[in-house]
Parts: sequence; structure tokens; C-alpha cells
Amino acid sequence: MPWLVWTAPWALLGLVAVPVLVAIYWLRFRYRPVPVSTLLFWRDVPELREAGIRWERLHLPLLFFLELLVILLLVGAALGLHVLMPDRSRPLIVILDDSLSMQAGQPSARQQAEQALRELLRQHRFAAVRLLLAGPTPQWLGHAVQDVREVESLLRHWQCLEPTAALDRALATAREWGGREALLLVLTDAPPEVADAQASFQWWAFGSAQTNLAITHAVRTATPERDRMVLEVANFSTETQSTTLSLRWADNVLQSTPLTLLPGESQTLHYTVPAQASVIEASLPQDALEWDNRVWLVHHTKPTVRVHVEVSQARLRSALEKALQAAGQTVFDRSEPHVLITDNPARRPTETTWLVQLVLEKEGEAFTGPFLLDQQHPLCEGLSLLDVIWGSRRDRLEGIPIITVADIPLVTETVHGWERRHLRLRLIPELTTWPRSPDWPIFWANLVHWRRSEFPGPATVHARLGDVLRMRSGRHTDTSSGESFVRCRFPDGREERFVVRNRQAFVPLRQLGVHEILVGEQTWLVAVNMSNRAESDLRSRASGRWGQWHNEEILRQDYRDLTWVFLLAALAVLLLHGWLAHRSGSSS
Amino acid sequence: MRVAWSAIVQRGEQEGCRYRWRLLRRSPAGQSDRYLTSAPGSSLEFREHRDYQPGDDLRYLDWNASARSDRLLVKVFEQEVHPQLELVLDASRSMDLAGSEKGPAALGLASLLAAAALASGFACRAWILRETCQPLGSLSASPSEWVFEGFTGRVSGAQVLLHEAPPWRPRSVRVLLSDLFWPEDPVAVLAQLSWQAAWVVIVQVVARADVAPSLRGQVRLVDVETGRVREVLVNEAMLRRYRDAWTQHQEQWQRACRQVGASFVQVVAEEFIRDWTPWPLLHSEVLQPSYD
Repeated sequence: MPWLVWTAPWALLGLVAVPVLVAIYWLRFRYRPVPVSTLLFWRDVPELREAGIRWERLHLPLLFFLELLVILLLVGAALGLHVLMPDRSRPLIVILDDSLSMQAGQPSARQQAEQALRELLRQHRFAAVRLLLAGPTPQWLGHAVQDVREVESLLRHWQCLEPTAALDRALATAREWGGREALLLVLTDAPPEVADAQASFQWWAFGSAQTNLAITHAVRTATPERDRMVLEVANFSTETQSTTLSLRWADNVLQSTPLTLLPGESQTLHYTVPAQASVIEASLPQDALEWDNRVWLVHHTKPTVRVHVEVSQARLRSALEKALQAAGQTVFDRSEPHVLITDNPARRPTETTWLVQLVLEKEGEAFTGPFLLDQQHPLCEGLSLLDVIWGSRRDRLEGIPIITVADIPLVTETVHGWERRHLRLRLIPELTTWPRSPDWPIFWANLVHWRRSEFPGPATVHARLGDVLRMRSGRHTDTSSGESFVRCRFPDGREERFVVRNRQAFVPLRQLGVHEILVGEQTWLVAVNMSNRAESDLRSRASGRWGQWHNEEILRQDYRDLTWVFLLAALAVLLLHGWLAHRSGSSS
Repeated sequence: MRVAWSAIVQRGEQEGCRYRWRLLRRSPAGQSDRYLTSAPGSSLEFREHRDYQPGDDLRYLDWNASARSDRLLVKVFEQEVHPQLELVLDASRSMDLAGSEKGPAALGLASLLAAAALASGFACRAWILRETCQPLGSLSASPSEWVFEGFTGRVSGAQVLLHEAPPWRPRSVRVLLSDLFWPEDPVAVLAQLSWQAAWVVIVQVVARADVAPSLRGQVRLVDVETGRVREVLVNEAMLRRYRDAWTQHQEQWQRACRQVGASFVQVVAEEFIRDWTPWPLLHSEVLQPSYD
């Protein structure tokens, strides 16, 4: 990279003014020999060579040199000179590991990292500092700041409550934002998986290998009489550990299970608990990481989906009923069903009933694929339609296609209002093998699951820390203000309202424990747990610094436009020139 | 003599025949070789009273008349003049300044004055002033007989006059044609010149470039007489200094002339050459047109 470049080399033509100036001065200031009768009367006229008046001899050439300098400076300005020089420090992007494991240890890795960052900012001055929280998804922490105090205030939001830290995604985000100029610093508790050779990159780890036992998995399944629980406890250490797993319901200890775990061993424990125990808390004694020692499991039964099938073909109806029964938590009920499946084109259900209209055709073609599936659609989850023969006509079918073959829609969807959906499914039963394929029950199970997910209530009652809970609200949650809210009471007792839009609200889950979701008079319990083996496993945590910045890397090498310097210097020289010329005239 | 110089001398001689020396008149005694000048002199013939001027000989103060008039008055006597003109021409290099008419004017004036003197009935002898003061021709020789070899002198004429004054005839009229660009004290020069002289006329021949130089910028001044060089920046301020020095020099000579009773006439060469009319000499009543 050259240290000096110019953008307008044609401006060198301006140097033509130099010989012109020289010629002017030569013609004007050459010594013209003049014969005189006597020098008698010129005695009082100072001779230029005489001492004491040397400045008079000099100031004329000085004016010449000043004018020459002005020409050169103006040419330099016109050239658009850019010089490569250290401009200022480069921007710094600090990627903060926001996972729970940063809280392990005393002092914790987070505290050590914060102190190290503070010292770094004290020693070096960066053009800007921007903080990027590395959780499951990267999240910028405020805007770029320059003041260390602003950084301090931003660091208060670095709470290390995320279940995992996607550092690779955070690095990609940082590089995209910072480009080649930005310096990257990762503050975490584990060494890098692959040493990054980039000069502008540093990886600082402040973790330490520690013994930790964790509940890494917890499931509660509800039945009408009793609930079953499955818990997995892991020993993340190099030694055999003994501990006790306790189950509590309210203030009652339901069960305590002594455990002895070999190094790296995981044990799965099965329990049966009363169905009326709305919240069961399982816990281990306190160790290096507190958050993975407790889980909460709430009692929850899936709501039943009412389905009514009105299909004249017995074989097809039978296949439908078998598939729907296999989906589970479904009942066949003709009064106010949630889903009506019919081959009657004139059938119009009530407002909340989803209509699945079977368009049974007599003549058509048998298609073997390939079938195009809208993979984002809930009905297509897990579908492949491989080796399926689908008989259909080629004419159009109303609605948005979900499954097509070539340009022929086979399954379409039309939405009526917020709650009522109208699905059309065309087929020629005699030419179609789909009801005999594994994709048949999958499709109908997807339909049941989809319909159930549209019931009021939380999308799940067991969430992971950091998730955003989708909450479906019912039809009668409007408040007097015209807006609908869902209230959430967090485990620390704080309550917050979330606006309902499109009959759903989203509640960020930032605390471990049981959340109460209140919609009108209804209350749902949602347990938030931290179950992540990678975060609980502190054996690979270590301290160290990888990568190094040199001063020249901290300083940004940048081409700086020198035009203003040249213009400013030319102006200064012109002012000096004017002052000297004025002084010469005054002294004369 | 160079052809050019001879032509000038001839022209001067022709022009000189049109003029007479005005200052000369026959003495009342009627002696043929006695003339009186209009200037005050030292003869016994009283002429008039006039106001005392600095430089006047205190011996000529008329105390009685001064007491009566309450003014200092000096007695002016007629000057007795021997009818011979000693014409001294400064032939230094400065008298022939390149680019000016100084040389031709000086030589022409000398010829003119000599011819006028001869026409006035005077004997005339011309002297050339170079490193020495040498006669230019024989006594009463006409200017056309002069052997003039140009303005080549390299020394100050004042020094020559002070150290080696020629044998001028006592009570003669002495005319010095020079630019007077001499550093010496004019009083001493004039004292030497006016010693036993009936009258002294100083004709300063200068070029217009001497009176008002039109120089600007950086110039290398070359003294044509000495060859010395002086590099100066000429601007209005420097020209003002030149004019001050010039005026001071002129005043010195005029004062010295008054002191010794000499007449001082300045002739600008270019103005004289234009029509060959010696207006300054006519105005100062040194010459008068011939009415013959």
C-alpha cells in the first residue's frame, strides 16, 4: 500500500505556473545596468549589498519564494493528495458470552472479564466500542460508545442468563458490522475451538474447570390419575460424586433420592407424582453452578380436539378416523367440533370450526410426484409423500396451495377471519395410495396438533430459559382501553403486561422458575428451566488469552485527504505574503 | 577631432555669433582694453548700494548708509574687466553621459560662448580639463580650430583645479563649463577659479537624467567616470533621497558662487540642444542677442 497517493494527477499541469513566475521575477528584478554621471547623489540611497539593509535585498526573493510556495501548495491541493497515516484507533467490538456458565466460580468468569475489559479500555483508546451479547442469538447492547463510563453503564445489562452462547453467530454478526477495520474481542469462559489467525481478533477466556452436577433433562407427563416424571442427572467432573435429588411440592418433600455418579455419568430417574401437585420442584445441593441444580415441572394436560367426520365413502372415512384416533387427545363429536371433515361441498360449519373439505373426484390422472410441499406449513411437518400415488384432475382448486404436483394444487387453504380455516383436499380415492402410506396419519396428526396449538393458552408449559413464550389469547380479553393484554407474574413476584396482537402475545422468559400467565380469569403455569449439558459441563472451561493486538493494528492505517492542509497552508502563506508586501510598501 | 565633435563646435560657433557677452561694457574712461562688468567689483568706481547678503565682504558694508536706512547695505563698485575670456571645459567622462545630450551640449556651449566672446571683441582661450588643465587651442583661436578629443577624463576636475590651476590672465572673465559633480568643497574650487578674476561664470551643464532620473526597480548604477558600481533598489523613496542630495549639492554651489561673486547658470543639455538657444545664459544676463 503506497504511503502517498493522488487522485488528480492532471493537476501537475499547474506546475507550469512555476517557470512563468520565475520569468516574471527575472524580468522584473534583474539588475539593469544604468550609466550615471556620478554616484554622488546616490550615496544616501542604500545599496542592497550593504550590511544592515540586507532584509530589503532578501524580502523580494522571499516574496518570490512565498509565491512559489503558494503555487506548489495549490498544485498539491489540486492533486488531491492522500497520505497513509495512523488515523486513530480502530473500533472495538466486544462479544460478551451471555450464557449462565459465565456465572460459575468466585469471582465469576463474568466479573473477571468485566475487570479485564475495564483495564483494556483504560490502556487503549478506541474509536468506538460496541458490545454484542452472545446468547442463543446475538444481540447488540446499545449503540457504539466512546466513553468508558458509557461502557460501564451498558455492562449492567450483561447478566449471563442465557441458556447458551452462540459465539460463532455473534462473531459472524460482529465481523459483518465491523468489517475489516474493527477489532474483535471475545470475553468468555472457554478456550476457542479453533485458533483464529486473524490479527484483529482476540479471545479472552476467564473460566476454570470445576466440578458440577446438574439436572440435564426433566419431563412431566400428565395422566388423569397421576403424572410421570423423568429426570436426568449428570456428573460433570473427573471424580465420582455423591448427591441427593429432592422432589418438592409446595413446602413438602415428596421424595429424596441419594445418587452416586461416576465421572461423566448421567442417570435417568423415573418418578410418579400426584396429578394434583401442580408444581414439582426437583433440586440438587448447591455447587459451582447454581442454575442447573433446580427444575420445575408443572401439571398440564393437553386439551382434547373435537373432530367430526362426514365422509360418504366408508373406506376413506375409516382411514380418516383411524388416523385421527392415532393422533391422540381427539374425540369425535358432532356438536361444535373444532374440526369438521366432510365431502359435502355445501357444508358450512360454525365460526370456530375448521373445515376440511374433501373434493372427491371421479376422473383424473394418477400422479407419482414429485410433490411440492410448503415446508413452513404446520400440515407439512414430517411429510415426504415418497412413493405416493395421488389421483386428481388437472383443474384449479380454490385457496392457497399447500401440496401440489406440477402446477396442480392438491391441498389448499383459505383463511376466514382469525379462527376459521378452510382446507380443501382433492383426490380420486381409487387412484390414490396416500391413505395407505405413513404420510396419511402424519398429515392428520399435524392437523390436530395445529388446531390444538390455536387454543387459548401458552404454546408450552415447560420452556427453556431465554425462550419467548407464545401465548394465544381467547376472544374476550379486550380491556376498556381497547387493547388486550396478557399478564405475566414472574418468579421474583414482578408482574408485567404484554400486548396481545392478532390474538397472541409473546412473553420473554428471563427467569428460572414458575411463571404465572393470566388472561382474564384464566391462569396458566409455565415452568422455565435451564437444561443444557454444554453449559453445565464446566470441565472444559479454562482461562487464557488467544491472539494479540499490536499497536499498529490498534491504530488504523488510513488514507487521509491532505487537500485542506495544502489550502490552509496556501492561505497562511498568502497572508504572510500580503503582510510582507504591505510592510515593504510602508517602509518605502 | 572627431567629425561629430567638429560639427558640434561649428554649430556652436555659428550660434555664438548671434550673441554678445552682456556683462561687458566699455569703461567710462574710454580705454579700449578696460571693461566693466554688471557684477560688483573692486574698482574704485561706485556703482550702487544693495542689501547685505550672507557671504558679502564685510569691508564693503556702508555703515553710514546702513545707519540711515536701518538696513545693512553694502557698497557695490564697478568691476574692471580685462577683455579676455578663459573658458574651461570639463572633459571628464561624466560630461558625455550615454543616452543624453550632455556632451554635445557642453561642447556646443563652449563653442558658442567662445564665439560670442570673440564677437564681443574679447580674446578667448579655451582650456580642457581632464587629468590636467590644458589649453584647447591658441589664444583667440576660433573654436573651429580647437583640437577636441572627447570627454575622456577620469578624475575630478576640482582636484585638478585645486592642485594645478592654469596660468589664467588676471582680471579675466573665467567661465567653467562642467556638471560640477565633484565631491570637493565648491568654495575652494571657486576660490581658486576666481583668484584675480574679473568675473566668474559657472555654467553647469547637466542632463535631464541627472536632474530627474527616471529609474525604477533594481538597477546597477555605473559611474561613467570612475567605473564604480552601486546596486540599488530605486523607488519613490529612493528618488526622494536622490533629489535631496541633488538639491543640497546645488545649494552648496549656488551659495559658494554668491560668496565669491560668481554667476551660476544651469543648462539642461537636452533643452539646449533642442534649439541651440542658451536661454539660461540669456535669462541670467550673461549673454544677450546681437543686434548687429
